[in-house]
Amino acid sequence: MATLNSVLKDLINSAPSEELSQVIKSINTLKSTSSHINNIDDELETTLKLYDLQNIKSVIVNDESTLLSLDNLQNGWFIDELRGFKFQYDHLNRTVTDIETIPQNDKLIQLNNKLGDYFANFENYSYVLINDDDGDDDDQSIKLVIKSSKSNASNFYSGSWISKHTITDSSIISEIQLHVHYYEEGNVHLTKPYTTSTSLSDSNLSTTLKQIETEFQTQLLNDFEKINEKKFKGLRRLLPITRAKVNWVRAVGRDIVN
Amino acid sequence: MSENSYDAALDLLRRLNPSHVSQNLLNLTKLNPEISEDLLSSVDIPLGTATDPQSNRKFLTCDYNRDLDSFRSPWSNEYFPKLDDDESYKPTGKIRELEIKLNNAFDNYRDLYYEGGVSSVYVWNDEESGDIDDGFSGVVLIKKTNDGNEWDSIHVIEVIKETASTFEYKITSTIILSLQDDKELNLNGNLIRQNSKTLRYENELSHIVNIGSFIEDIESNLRNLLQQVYFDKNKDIVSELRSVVDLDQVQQDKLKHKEVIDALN
Repeated sequence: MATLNSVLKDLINSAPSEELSQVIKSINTLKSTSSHINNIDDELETTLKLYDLQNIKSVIVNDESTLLSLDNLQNGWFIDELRGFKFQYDHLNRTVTDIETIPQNDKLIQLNNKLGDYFANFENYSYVLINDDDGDDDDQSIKLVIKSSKSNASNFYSGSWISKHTITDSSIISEIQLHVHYYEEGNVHLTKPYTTSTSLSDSNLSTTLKQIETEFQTQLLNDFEKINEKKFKGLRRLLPITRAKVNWVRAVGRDIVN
Repeated sequence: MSENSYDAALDLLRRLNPSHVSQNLLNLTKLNPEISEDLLSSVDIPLGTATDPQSNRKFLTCDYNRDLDSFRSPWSNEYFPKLDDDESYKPTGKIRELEIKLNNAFDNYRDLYYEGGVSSVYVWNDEESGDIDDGFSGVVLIKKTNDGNEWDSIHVIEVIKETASTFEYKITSTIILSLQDDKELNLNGNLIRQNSKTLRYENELSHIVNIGSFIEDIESNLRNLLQQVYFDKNKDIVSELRSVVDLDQVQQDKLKHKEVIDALN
């Protein structure tokens, strides 16, 4: 089936990351009862790999939480120099494989110590620090990737917050990606990407990172109010123009007279 | 068709982003063609709009007024594009009279609540005579588009005779709402609710009054619910992903609050 890969890609790419396991389960049920599809594991693995990298999957390695991202992937290994290990991941079977110890990176340890209370706003999160040093002294940077997630099936919602901060001596480039899903007797998705650049004159890295994210969150709350006031209320009024409920007897009567 | 595969497809459709619902439906039927018919007839997708050239009025298109690639207009009772055969469903007699009256009544309703948009009502039953004495089925549709934001109301109605003077009205309502701003904030989705009521029937106008006021109440409730879910609920979930205030501080505030409550008791 020539388009199988694109079919799977479309389906999986619109899934909330905290519900991917249920989405895969349902896809497997569909394929197992379909006389049309025999083996889709190869295509599924490719799609899941891309999805995991884009949605920054959180995994446990050596009892420590770390992340899968394109930024810490080198030659098939996910590198965590802060915690001193590298590992491979089986995207189809959703398991960590082949863990190896590597030297810890002093620069990352130092930066980690500077993060202070940056994590104080997150409850359930994983993060990774990545040394982006390409050998050029003028262009040294460290990437901080954090993913906060929540899944509450009994109350029908899930959500994920991903921040990627590229930190140099003088600036921070931040990308934030937010996805919320609510599905009690319905299916509602909120998505919001955000990018900003901030100069880093202050030595307090933790405070600056918190300010960037709080600024985004405050803007988001304002945007909600604006959409509610300007867009939602312009679609259907709470009450009719007449400010009284429709008199259906009169409406029908008028129609009959007409 | 396997029941498991149908349930799996529905589970996927309640999880995947509904802004791609048409593409997702197509993909699911490619993955498992055995479920195509059931899936396409049970999943609501955003309504289409067409123009009836005979009345020069807009009407809404969906699976309920479709035959092949043509759609029946509620204004002229004709299919557009024109169909070659005469076997397509066209209501006659009392059921067509009811459909015309419902369309005019909901056109007024739409104007009062939506100040724009398009509405269409389609009615059908199994009686060839068009008799509606024992009941009928139908769908009330409203679509409003404004600056890239969309509201689609789909109310599927089943009217069943209970006694000589009462009918049961079962309504399954879906509101599909898509909102966005110029800063890439997207809120897409749908809420579905089922309601039923037994109401008095006095004369031929009763069905219109009963359906109209029932749908008016359902839409008002759903509008409040949409506002809660799209804005309040989403805000709450975002604050669970990242609290604007440090979580230690939140915890301390909660303790202080508890101490005050305990002291008052």
